Amino acid sequence: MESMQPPHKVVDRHFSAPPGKVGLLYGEKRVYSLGMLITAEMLMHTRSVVFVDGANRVDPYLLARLARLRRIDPYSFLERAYVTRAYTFYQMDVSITDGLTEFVRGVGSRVVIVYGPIDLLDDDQVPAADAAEILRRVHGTLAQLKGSGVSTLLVSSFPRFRLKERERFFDTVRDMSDVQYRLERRTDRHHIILEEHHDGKDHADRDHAHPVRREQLVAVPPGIAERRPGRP
Amino acid sequence: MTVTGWLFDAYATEHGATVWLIDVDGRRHRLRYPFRPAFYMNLTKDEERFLHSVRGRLPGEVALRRVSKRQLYSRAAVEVLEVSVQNPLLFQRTVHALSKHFNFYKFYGADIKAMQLFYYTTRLFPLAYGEYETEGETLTRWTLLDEPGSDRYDVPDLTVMTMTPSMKLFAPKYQRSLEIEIAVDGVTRVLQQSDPLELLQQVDHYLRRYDPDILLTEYGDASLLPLLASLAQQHRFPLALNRDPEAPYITTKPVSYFSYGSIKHRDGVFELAGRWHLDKENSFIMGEADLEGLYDLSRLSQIGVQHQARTSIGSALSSMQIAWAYRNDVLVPYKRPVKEAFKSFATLLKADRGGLHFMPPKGYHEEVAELDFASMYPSLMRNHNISSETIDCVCCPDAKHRVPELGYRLCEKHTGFIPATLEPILRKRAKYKQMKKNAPTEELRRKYDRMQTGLKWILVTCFGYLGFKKSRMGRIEAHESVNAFAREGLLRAKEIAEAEGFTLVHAIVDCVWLKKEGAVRADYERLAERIGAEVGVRISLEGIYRWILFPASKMDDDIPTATRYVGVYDTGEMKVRGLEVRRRDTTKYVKRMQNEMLAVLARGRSIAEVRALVPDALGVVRSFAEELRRGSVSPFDLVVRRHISKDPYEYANRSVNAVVSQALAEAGVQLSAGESVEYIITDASGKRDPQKAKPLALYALDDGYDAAKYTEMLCDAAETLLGPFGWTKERIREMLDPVTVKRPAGRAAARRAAKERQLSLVLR
Amino acid sequence: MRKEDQGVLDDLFTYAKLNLPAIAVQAHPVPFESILLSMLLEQQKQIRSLTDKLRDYGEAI
Repeated sequence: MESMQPPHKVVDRHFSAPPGKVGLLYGEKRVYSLGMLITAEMLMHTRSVVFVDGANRVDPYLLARLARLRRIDPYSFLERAYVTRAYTFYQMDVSITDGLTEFVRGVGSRVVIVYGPIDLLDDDQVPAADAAEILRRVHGTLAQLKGSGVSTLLVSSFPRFRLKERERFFDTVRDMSDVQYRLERRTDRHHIILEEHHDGKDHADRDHAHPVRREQLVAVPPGIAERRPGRP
Repeated sequence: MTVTGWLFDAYATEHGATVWLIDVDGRRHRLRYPFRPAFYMNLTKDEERFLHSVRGRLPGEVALRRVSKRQLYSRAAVEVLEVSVQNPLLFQRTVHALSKHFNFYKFYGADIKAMQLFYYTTRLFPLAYGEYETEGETLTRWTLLDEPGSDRYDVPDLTVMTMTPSMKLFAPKYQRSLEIEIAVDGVTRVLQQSDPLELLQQVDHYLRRYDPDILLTEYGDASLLPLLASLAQQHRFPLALNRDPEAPYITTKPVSYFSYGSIKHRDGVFELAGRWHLDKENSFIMGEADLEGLYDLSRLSQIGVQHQARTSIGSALSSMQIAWAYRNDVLVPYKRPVKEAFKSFATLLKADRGGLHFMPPKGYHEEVAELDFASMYPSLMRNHNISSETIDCVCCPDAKHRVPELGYRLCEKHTGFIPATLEPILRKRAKYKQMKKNAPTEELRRKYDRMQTGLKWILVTCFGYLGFKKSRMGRIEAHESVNAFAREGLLRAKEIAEAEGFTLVHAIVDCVWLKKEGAVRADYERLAERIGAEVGVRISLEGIYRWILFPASKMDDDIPTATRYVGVYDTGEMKVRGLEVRRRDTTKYVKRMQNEMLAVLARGRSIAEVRALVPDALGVVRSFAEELRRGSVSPFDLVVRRHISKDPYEYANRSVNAVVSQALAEAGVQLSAGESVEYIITDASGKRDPQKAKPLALYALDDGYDAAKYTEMLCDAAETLLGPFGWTKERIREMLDPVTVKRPAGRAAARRAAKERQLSLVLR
Repeated sequence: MRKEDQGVLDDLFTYAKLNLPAIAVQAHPVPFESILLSMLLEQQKQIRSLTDKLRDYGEAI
């Protein structure tokens, strides 16, 4: 338990070192704000962060306020965070599999954050077979990034599918990741739970690692995750 | 043989296409045209070999051939495989079968309807006039004496038969048995459903006797035609709905679907072969632009008339874009979208802004002039060559032409497909407006007005489609660029006006309201000319107002709203935007009252005169409220219409929508999310009557209505107009009923709470 | 905050809201600064109009 630390610092520290992994941060809607907090933390010690936003939740205003709170010129953050937005799962596909690795290398980033990797799947315009293939391709790119020492954090709220048969894709996305952080609200507090940790071990022993190891990373004191950050 | 005339109808059959012509003597010709729809695949050598190996296992026969095409975005030439499907009816199934073996990005033009491919590849279009060569029953070739973008063309004389439910109060789905009214050639007959066979025989009799080109119905898609077709099937009766006895009907089922955050409902369609079925109740464009506008749109979009009537207006533009691609040998992406280029959050902040607007000063103003940019967004797209493939193109790395504030480069070598498709629409609409202005008769004036309205709607939607999101050929940067140019244009207009001594009263996106002591028409026209020349988009004087009112926001009476106003021009004409009278969710009774109040206020030629008319306007409110209290208002004027967002039993609450749709469901009326319900409020509080409201279809006169609730609506609408003179809705209610009506407590508190919420939003 | 101050604060935020479109189009990363400025702007407008009125009044007597 590291409950004295704010959650974004804990996730940042846990996730950033060593580089080259795929993480999944999921939970209630607030994960997206938490994602911006983690970004602010990362921008304190890395050159840039690259977003693929499929949830339309990237918030430059929030990032600017977070810069202010750290007594940093907002533009110093805003100019080092990049984004491409995706409104369909096909756009998410090309955003990741076509040109992302080159762009990441170009701006010297070590971190990619993908918002809403599964939200766009709840769309009957995307046949399940296409979705499965896109997820395979995306997985391939993430592995490639990992190989070159770039970490990817997938951020997703609890999926609420109208197309029920799509729920299984959440597991597919979970299986892509080496480490999962689950943001959970219990009574009055938010908890971040580290669900499973492979420490870079090969995916082959995944079956043996079950049942899932759960470790409570941090219990978020009320007032940190409760309120939107940046409020005076 | 040569048939000189018009292309009337075309549809796919297993042998190709069936084409109907109407010649200049009014004869109808049914012809066959051998047509093979094709899609394209970009394959490696190995994949191509594989395709050959599975060819025999496809649903239908295909022909393969290598052709050279161009990519939309890179403009690069590319050799692709053309897959022609011998039986057009198997086109989609063939794509589907192949998509099991090949990645979806390998396909191009694979989801276009076979009939659309017919139009795109033959370059024919509905109602195209020309000389058509035939051999036997086959159409061989043609010479068109007409083009889609033409603004002067003839339409053949078409026979129209109307078919409507004779009881019009409710939609047929609310009626237990149906009476059908048929009118053709000046004769009207009412046919009853009680003896189905007789009904069928009579309908059939009229169809065969008059053989109409157009079957014009109300609720034909949702009820009449499905009902007739199923009766005919039950009784094995060969009903001549189709002109072509060998072809099937083209039908789809009704659907509820989710679009841009809200539930929508679409009725099924029932299209005919060799004859057009047009349903007034299932056609946006016919409501706006009538048949003339529909024909005009159909010619331009190359979408069959029946389909164009039912489809969304944006499809017309999409179709024109795809037609452009086929004309220019450009591949149409199938599922592959354009991605947004990476941008920094700093750029995102700047790029993500919408249109520019100001806040008008609340209340009444005198002698204000309005100047409007004509078709601003599409004009900007055309003038600046803004298109999905022209932004940061590969061919102009040093382009001087750039998007203001954002710096995106714009192609200087090639016209983009969006400007190319908008050009004929803009040209044609300007022409129709001109023709309308110069029309010698009122009838012609109205005709050209309807035709320009059809086009107006394409132009209105073009921005959204250029937009992005789910649009396959759209691109977000194009959307941002248009916004940036539009903001710059409006700001420029403001600066020029101010430099010339005018005061800016208000501005929204493409309109400005200005004022200058003593300015007359000619001054504003001169100003418009100067702005138009500098911005590059025509702007014209819409009119000078005697007075204009910008009412307070309904949420916060300290601030105005940007898009609600009413004003009276110096011609006496009135312009109303966004007020209750213009809103779909206002009851007729409230609309009537507000209209009467406006008629009173419109007599005022200055604010002082309007002020003097306030007692008269209050008199209108009083008489409407008294009629309500007496219980003598017709319930039909009190009908509230709302869209339901859920299926009846999905509601967890007891809201009026829930109560009403459940009552209807119990009465056997099937409703689904996105449909609208109509009801009369009987007790809004639910204290006297837990039912709260009665659906119109189940309403009985002795159900009464909630006079207090409707009076509240009257006061609300009255406040909109009289608020600036100190007549708040509380004060109006007190005036109406000084004894019993108490000032509702808590309004001030609620206002404060709302402000606090606003504060915390700002501070967060 | 005192109850009587609440109303004054309400007024300030009404001033800000009157300039909301301008604040939006400026897209300042920390919009609160634009909000403060627009409060000042509206306040200054009032001061001016009051000053003018006072001057007219002074000239009148």
